[in-house]
Amino acid sequence: MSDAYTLLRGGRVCDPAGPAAGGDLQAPRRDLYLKDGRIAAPPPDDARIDAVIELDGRVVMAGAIDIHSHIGGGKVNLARLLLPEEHRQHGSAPDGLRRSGSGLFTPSSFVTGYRYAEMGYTAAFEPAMLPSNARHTHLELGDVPIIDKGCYAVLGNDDFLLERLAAGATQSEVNDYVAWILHATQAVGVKVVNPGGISAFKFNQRRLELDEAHPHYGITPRRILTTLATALSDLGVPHPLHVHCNNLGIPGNESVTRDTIAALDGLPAHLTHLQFHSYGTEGDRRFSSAAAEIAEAVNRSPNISVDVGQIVFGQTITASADIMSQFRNSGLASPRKWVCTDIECDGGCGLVPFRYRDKAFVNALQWAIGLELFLLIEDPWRVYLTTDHPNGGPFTSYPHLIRLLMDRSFRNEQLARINPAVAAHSRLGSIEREYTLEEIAIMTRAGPARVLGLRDRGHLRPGAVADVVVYDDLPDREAMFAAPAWVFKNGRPVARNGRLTPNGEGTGWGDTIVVRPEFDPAIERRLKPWFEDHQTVRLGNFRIADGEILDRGRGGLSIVPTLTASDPCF
Amino acid sequence: MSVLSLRLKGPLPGRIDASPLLPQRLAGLNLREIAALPLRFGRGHVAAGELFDLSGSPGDTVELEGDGRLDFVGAGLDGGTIRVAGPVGHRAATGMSGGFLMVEGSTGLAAGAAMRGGVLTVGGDAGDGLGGALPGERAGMTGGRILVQGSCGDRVGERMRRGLIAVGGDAGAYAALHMNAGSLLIGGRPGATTGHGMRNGTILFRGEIDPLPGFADCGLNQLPFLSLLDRHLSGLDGVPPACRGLTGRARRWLGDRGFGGRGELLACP
Ligand SMILES: [Zn+2]
Repeated sequence: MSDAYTLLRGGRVCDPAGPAAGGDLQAPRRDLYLKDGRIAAPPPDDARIDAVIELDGRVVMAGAIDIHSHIGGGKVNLARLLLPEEHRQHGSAPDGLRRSGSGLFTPSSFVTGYRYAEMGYTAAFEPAMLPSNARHTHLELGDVPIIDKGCYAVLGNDDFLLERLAAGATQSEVNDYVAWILHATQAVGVKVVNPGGISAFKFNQRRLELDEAHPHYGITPRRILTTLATALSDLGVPHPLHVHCNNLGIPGNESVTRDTIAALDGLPAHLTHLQFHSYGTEGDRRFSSAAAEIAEAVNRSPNISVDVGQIVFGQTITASADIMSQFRNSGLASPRKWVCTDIECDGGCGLVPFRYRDKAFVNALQWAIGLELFLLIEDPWRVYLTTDHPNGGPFTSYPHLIRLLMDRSFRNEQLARINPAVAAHSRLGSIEREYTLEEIAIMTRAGPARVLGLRDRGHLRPGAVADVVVYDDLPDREAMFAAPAWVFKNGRPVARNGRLTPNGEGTGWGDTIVVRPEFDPAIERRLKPWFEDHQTVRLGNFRIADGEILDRGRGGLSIVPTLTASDPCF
Repeated sequence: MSVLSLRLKGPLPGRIDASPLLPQRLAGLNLREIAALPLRFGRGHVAAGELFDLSGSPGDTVELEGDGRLDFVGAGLDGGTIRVAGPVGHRAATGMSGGFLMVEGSTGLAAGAAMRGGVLTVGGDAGDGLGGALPGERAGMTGGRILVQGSCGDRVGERMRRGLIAVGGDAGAYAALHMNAGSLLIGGRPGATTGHGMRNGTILFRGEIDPLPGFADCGLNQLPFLSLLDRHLSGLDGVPPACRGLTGRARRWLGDRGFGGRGELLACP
């Protein structure tokens, strides 16, 4: 502990979740004080100020938060194994302080942390942690430096839940199971991937509609979806159910996406990589944009938040627990190699390398659909910037995407370059909206923080974690967001002008963010025999202890408070 | 013709990445600049001049004193000649597309892997993965020529698409694993499971062999193509003698049938 302050003087603070009118860049410049890794209230006159950094009207925001990015765990590791050529081509040398690494769209753990920090991102959430892979995922994320991280446990295709639902389990039993999983796997949320579909795939089903019964358990995706969404709501977990809808990538899937929103019937939920779920079947090619219809449904449903999963042209790899869709797409693999596998009957895993081509009609339209969603969903508090890294492209393309959203003429220039049929089939060219800096600050910081229940991140009020990013206000928004002038993590300057700082401050470790709702431990009486009979480890060994994350002081834990009845619901 | 020669000053401090020492890359530099060239060494770099005494003049030929800890010698070579007195380490001639790499001694792992053109000659033995595929790649060697006087390790010619590999001595296991096309000549004894997963291409042996069950015996043949091949080999430098003297007579198998393959194994007396 130190009693000295760092003063960031004279910045234009863009803090939509901050004090009144905090997002107004015309407002007078505001000084920010950092102390002990937190934002501090303006100190008394005799306080000791150790360092003063003159910001000269530069734009100041909280650290950015990536709500959905596949950066660790079994799936990512298999992706790295499948494409060693990526790692041969993209090396990253050590610099005395920082470790070496490799990769572009499946960067190695250390490189992941460095690249995020250089871009002003100070937290990223791994969205697809299978409970049986949880230990591996946390070990790997433990090697992601600088940034905070958290994981969503994947449920909804696990045989325990499906069997219990088929046997008529009560909602409160499911609630206990969900809470137990959150504790045992050190997760901050729950994701459901193609509810029931991954399991159905193993029973030779190749597509599953919302009200289609699972071939073995006889329960429907609708039932799984609503039961899990209710469980999280009952438990007071701030991040609502993170939903990867059924029939990803299939033309015409917009109907199942809209049905899913309707089925949730007011229950809070987050629909992820919405772009992949907004396809219609109109036109000669039976593939069209349904972004307008989906955006309309989202606009009408204040219980729903989304991230887009924008695609970026170029080589990447798609990595998903949705084995049903990955198997279907395996013929499109480029280069021609792919993996689909079961993981301990908990779920599945499919990896299909892919090259998005701007001259290919389907890819170009996917690009346009993503942008349409961003621009047609009106409330920036409920739509977040993602590429579903690496599925739509690497997270390093965020600055480019921000420019596409903020700069209409740049967007239309890009639109003119891609397959010309898209401009004719898409309304993108006619959309005039340009995101403001404040809206960008909402969709990349304040919004994700709110939907994750992070009370001391995503804003710059006194008491917040001192994750602060300072940008030069450049007309080229891509250049501006790619290389922030300053990035502070926990009050330490970790990056300067887009490069990690050349001293020991540009290192260090973030927290693992978890949630711990109350539950009835009697659920273990049912789980214990299940583990004995069906799992590869016993229940006691399955549970991840705090010490494994803390790792003798190298890692940290940050517990998100659960919501109580008096909290404003999402 | 100008020759640049690099003589080791003493024992190497560890494994060195020698890939920058390509004739065409050095041709534009003077000796001082070459001496300052950083070579990858562990987590850092070491200047070429700290390891080597330099003499001669940079041009189309580099003469190098070899060491088993010099890796990536001639990797990415696309023209000119590198002559090595002694052995080299791993990944020599990886991804080479032209020119000559002549190693008097032996080579380590994956020599000539993913080679696209040019000629690699090895006076001693070659390690595993000779003329093979880099990890994860769907294609191995796609062109060029590899001539080895001694024996080679496992998985020679893995996923080969084109080109010629001739090994004077014995070959290890899984020779021509998943071969797609091209020619592999083995002068000595083949190892276990030769030709496993082969789709196309030719593996030529001297003497008797006992192929995998996935290969169908097509009996004794008189193949005029073999005499043409022998004549072609006679015009090349460095072909191991054990691979020469083909008369045209050969016992022939086709496979690997387990993979729908139509590659051929030829046992030539
Ligand atoms: Zn995802």
